[in-house]
Amino acid sequence: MDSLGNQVSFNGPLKNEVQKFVQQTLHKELDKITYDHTDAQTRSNKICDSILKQLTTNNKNFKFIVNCLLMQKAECGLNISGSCYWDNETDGSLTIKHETEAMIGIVNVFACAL
Amino acid sequence: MEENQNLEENTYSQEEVDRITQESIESVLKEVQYEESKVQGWINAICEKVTQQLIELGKPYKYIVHCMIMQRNGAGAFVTTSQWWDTVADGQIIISWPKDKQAKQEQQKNTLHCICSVFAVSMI
Repeated sequence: MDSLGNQVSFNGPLKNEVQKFVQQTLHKELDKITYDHTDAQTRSNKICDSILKQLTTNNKNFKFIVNCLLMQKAECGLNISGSCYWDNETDGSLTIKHETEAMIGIVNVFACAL
Repeated sequence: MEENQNLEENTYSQEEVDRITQESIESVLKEVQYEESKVQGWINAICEKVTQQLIELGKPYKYIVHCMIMQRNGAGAFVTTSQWWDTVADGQIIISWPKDKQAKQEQQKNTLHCICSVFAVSMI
């Protein structure tokens, strides 16, 4: 990520780097953990904050929004959609889903170029 | 006087965005029950309605509308967001629908839950 600090567009090598990092974070935080509503809030905050911190220490050309959903695995339907009004060349988004036995974690990263 | 006008034109209004989002969700989801085949259509309709109206506001902002519809089955869920942006010019609205009071008043057995987030990122 250090060498990508000067990227002007989110769509490109930067996106791949971010994807790898988000997947690693989700694996680390969610594997072998059961859903507990008392600490799910803290866990999802921690995921968001650590992703945001990593994104911003190396890239000063973007504004970032990180969205995290943690859901208990149950027999229920879930639909998610996003709509963005921005500059397609420089701005971009990423959605990563990580499923374990007990829960589902979905992280969205939106980047708007400055 | 001119400076104040410029400021108003270039900042977004929290109440306006709140109203737009609430109305769009209400118009699409009022009195519907969760149906797997139709949810995708509803969710796209909400996103498009909200984005369209935000663009019509004509402010110098980029918008991200994120919508989630979940079937009410007793499962727990948490949504968090973190942002790295200009805290003065940029902002967000997160609407959870229906509000429980609303559901009780209408005596509706709500089978779905909608969470819609709107992020406004300033271009200047």
